Amino acid sequence: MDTIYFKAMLYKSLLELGKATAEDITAYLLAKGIETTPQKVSQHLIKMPGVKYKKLSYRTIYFIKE
Amino acid sequence: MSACEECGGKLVKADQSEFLVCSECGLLSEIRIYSFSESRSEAKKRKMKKEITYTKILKKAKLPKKYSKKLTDGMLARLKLTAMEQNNSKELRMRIYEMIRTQHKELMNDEFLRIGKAYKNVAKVFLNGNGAEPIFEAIALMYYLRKNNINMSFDKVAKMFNLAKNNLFRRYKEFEERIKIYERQGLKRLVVMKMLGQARLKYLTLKEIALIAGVRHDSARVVQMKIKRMNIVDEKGLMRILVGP
Repeated sequence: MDTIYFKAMLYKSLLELGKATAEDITAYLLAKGIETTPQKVSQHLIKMPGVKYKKLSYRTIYFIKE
Repeated sequence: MSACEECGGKLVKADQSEFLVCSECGLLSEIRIYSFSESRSEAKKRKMKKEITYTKILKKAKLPKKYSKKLTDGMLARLKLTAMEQNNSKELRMRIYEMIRTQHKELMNDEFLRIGKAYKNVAKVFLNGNGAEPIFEAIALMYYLRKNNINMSFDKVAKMFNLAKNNLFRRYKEFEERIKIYERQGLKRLVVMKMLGQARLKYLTLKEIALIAGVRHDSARVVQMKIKRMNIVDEKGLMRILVGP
């Protein structure tokens, strides 16, 4: 899948959800038909400007839009 | 024993009765037989003690719960025949483990083909419909076997469906990579996604979704009923169930 499209969808989902874990965003994207994993989601969102993140546990990352 | 009141014939005990019956005319005498040796309840208890029950077998084998759940009715019936002769609980336990390990060998080839046919839709959906029918069936069977912890080689399955082993292996890996993403989601999420009309899941039945989630068909149906009872019709409501806490 095109990375720009994927990133755009990622940001859009975060805008809609407000704050969510990587797992939630993955489920949201899957429902929209974009097959991805929580690892891939966090990998992209961590680097994204305008997105804050907080590590809740060693595997759960919480993403919040600024 | 006294004689019959009517004809004077000999009185005999009727089967399963406390009363005496005349052997000549068949008249039921008023004389009752009371047995003081043991009551009926005691006799029943004694009979129950002698009877071999499945619970007794499992208790004797000291079998952990997770294994006792895997025992089928057929296995229990076979165990019942020989279990009480074995005094060593360890030996009995080992026999049960062996039975569980080799249970798939009992399944006939026809049964495997039937499973493949029943779940071929899963393979078809996740491979985007690219391929022939036998390869879908073989992949579906392979997936079913892996999900149920039954070991069977690619070679054997390929031979069963008259396919090349390498081809089956390559297509299975392709299929596995795609389905892995859905396996990580729970059953509830998968059912909600189906209701939302997700690109792949909308073509699958509840039975097939239950296989992906690794649960029984009944539990999948219960989850679906619970969601339907919430009376959520719009997409936003379903999304809230999907992503909410």
